[in-house]
Amino acid sequence: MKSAGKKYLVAGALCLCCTLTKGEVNAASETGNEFLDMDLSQLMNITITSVSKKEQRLADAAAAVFVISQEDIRRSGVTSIPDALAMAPGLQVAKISASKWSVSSRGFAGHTSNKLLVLIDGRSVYSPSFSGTWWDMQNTLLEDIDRIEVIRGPGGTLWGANAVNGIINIITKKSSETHGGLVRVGAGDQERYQGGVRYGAKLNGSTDGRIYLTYNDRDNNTLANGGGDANDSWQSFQGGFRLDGTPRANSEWTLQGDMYRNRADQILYPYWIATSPYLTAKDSEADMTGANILGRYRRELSGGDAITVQAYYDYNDQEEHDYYQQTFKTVDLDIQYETSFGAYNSFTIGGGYRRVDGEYENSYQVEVSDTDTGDDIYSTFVQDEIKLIDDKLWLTLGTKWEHNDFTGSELQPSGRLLWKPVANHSFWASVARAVRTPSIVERKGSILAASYPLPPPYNSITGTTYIRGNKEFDSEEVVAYETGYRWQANTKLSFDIAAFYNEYEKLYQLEPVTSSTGLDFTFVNGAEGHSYGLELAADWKPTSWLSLVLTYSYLDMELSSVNSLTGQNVSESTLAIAKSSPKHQASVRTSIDFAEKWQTNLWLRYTDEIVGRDSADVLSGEIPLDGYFLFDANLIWKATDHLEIMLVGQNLLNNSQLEYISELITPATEIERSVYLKLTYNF
Amino acid sequence: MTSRKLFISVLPVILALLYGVAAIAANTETEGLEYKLKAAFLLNFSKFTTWPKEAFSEAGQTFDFCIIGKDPFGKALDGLESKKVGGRNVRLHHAGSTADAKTCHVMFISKSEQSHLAQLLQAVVGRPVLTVSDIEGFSRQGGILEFVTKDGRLSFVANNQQALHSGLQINASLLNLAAEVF
Repeated sequence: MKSAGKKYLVAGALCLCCTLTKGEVNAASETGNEFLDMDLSQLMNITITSVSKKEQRLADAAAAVFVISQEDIRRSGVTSIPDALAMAPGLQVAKISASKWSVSSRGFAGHTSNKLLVLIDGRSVYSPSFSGTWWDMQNTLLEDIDRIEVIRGPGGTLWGANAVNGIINIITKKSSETHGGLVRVGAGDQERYQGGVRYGAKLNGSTDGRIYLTYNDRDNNTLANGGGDANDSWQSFQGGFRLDGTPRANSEWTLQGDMYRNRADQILYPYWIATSPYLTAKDSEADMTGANILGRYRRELSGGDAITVQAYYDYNDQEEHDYYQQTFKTVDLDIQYETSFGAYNSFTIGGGYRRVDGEYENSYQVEVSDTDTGDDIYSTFVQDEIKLIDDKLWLTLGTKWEHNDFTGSELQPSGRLLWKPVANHSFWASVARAVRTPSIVERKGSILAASYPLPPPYNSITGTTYIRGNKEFDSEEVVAYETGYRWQANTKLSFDIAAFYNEYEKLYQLEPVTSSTGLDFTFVNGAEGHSYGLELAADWKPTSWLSLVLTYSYLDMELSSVNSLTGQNVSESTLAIAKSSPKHQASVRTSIDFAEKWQTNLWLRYTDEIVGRDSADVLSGEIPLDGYFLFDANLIWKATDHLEIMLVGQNLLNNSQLEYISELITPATEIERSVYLKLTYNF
Repeated sequence: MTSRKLFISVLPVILALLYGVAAIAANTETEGLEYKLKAAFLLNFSKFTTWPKEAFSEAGQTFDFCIIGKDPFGKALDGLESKKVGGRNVRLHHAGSTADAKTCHVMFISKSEQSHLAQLLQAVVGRPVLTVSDIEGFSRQGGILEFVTKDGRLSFVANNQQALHSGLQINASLLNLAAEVF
């Protein structure tokens, strides 16, 4: 099957990678060039290319995309990247504790949600240990974020493995856009203290730079059972720099780096011990340190060709005291070339190499059989954007070939069609395959899931149940069928709707195996199923002082176990993981500029009921969670041209709200209502 | 074989077929966002430049845009002729060389003419013709306005000395928007 695919490796291409911008489309005349009536300052704001990939306007993407802009982030009052992601349709964002989130796309929610790829300025922050993102290690000065692009659906053709259900691209501003100083200070009850400093300047005729520091101190929340202190306070501290240069009109480079040090309190639960009472909870802490540096160079050549080279190094150390400790060192190199072939084929070809070295310290709770790992991943991709009908119909075909040490070669092709019958309507459809490669834990790890007394004659030893890694564990696979429609009715009103049907195979499942100390479970590719859903976003600015953004997401998943011998479905009932994501989600954001220097922003969102997993009962523990509303509101006063004062209320409807129950480490925690005040001074 | 497996095995074939169909169906006209923007820039350039009186031999004469060489705009220039510049109706001309284009007010030189750019520019030197191109280094070689990409956005470099030498007055507000002026 795979060899058949390889034959067509060169036949592939897609255009999704592309950085997306919310370029406004004039309600243009149906023929001709809609830009002719725009003035130069407007025209110069339209992005046509970007450093990362070929540029596309949002209206021209044959994929389900949503862009969270800097203005959206500023007006929302959020203080972290994952909280900002709750603005996007199709994502499931739930706060587990002060420092932990479940962020997933189109289902498979969880603290260790593993089918979503996250990039910050082109650097992957997807953790190889569990195939997901540790959100308590991903931070930056929020004011420096240019936009967050949320792409739902598979992106494996360009981005590689693990972009199964989506990609999140966090893109910071170029340093030419952050000249001058910024100082932010704030205080509140949950957001105890916050501070941010940035200074940027033009360094010489062709080089700009900035440096920043950011600090947050968050207070404890409340345990769902008994209402005690959840002991989850969190302090995060990060600093960094960015330099951008344009030595010539046709070339540009970026050098950027960050360092961080975070610490958090946490209760480890369930915390299994070898003696009675076996199941305990332990007050503990976590320390996270990391640093990264990234360089990128892009040069445009004659004839519209362009070459981009990028390299980064990332170091991070995560020490969850009494639980595990892991260190990763990643080196990544990427090269990309854009060229056109004839008048109607635009090719993007690229290759990459990544080396990840990991070191682990084992505990009674978590073990990795190989305490030093080194994994190499190399890949190549090609995509072709073909104009079928000029200005109306495009086909993008592509595929990525990637090789990893665990499962060997993986091929991730896609085909996408974009139809724009007139300038402000676009229809798109796509078919794509993507894979999630096994994590280190799934291959080599052991996680203690229970300890218990054994009956005689075995009562001299403690019974244990581990979830054990499996060297035979293979990649999970999805084939996704998607379609969507975008309508920019005029400059005030736009709609975006996307629907999908995903077929999953070889999903992970726990299978019981006997061991010398009781019963273990091991990871097998023992489940399959499908999901379908719908996501809607509407953006309406009826007047210059009022804007509304409405999003709605529907998700339905049916997953079942497969008997490895007969290939038949074992269970009629759907698996627990399918129930851990809400069927319905809705959000309304309203922004009102009610006086010259005053703004208020209101954000109401609803999350449907889910079934959480009881981490103390690996076999069958299910805990139903009711649907809930969250309401945030804030008030902004632009006191002077330089000074802005903002009063923010989060989760105002409830004293505290249980949003999610983690399947790992953390006891069920209710997130408390939060009020904070911040001052931002620009100079 | 389940239908799913069948689908996966057939997928590359479908993609290959689609690709073949696409390659055949695709026509040769070119156009895209980039040249739509460039067309709109051209119109704006002409609105912010003052030509000497002698550039218009008679009252009511048209304002002439010329594309020299292979036209990269395609349909991006549709609608240009319905516009007015300085109260004059816009006309669009395509020409193989400057010899055919004596009456141009704005002259866009296509990348196809890169190899003999020097001769093209020599032919209009000292005449009130606003030369524009996206050939790299155009403004350094004596062209007046050169398209460049800056921070992923379309911008331009202005050779104002050459403009003045040609008898053209480029409005200061246009020069302020340029990535570079010399």
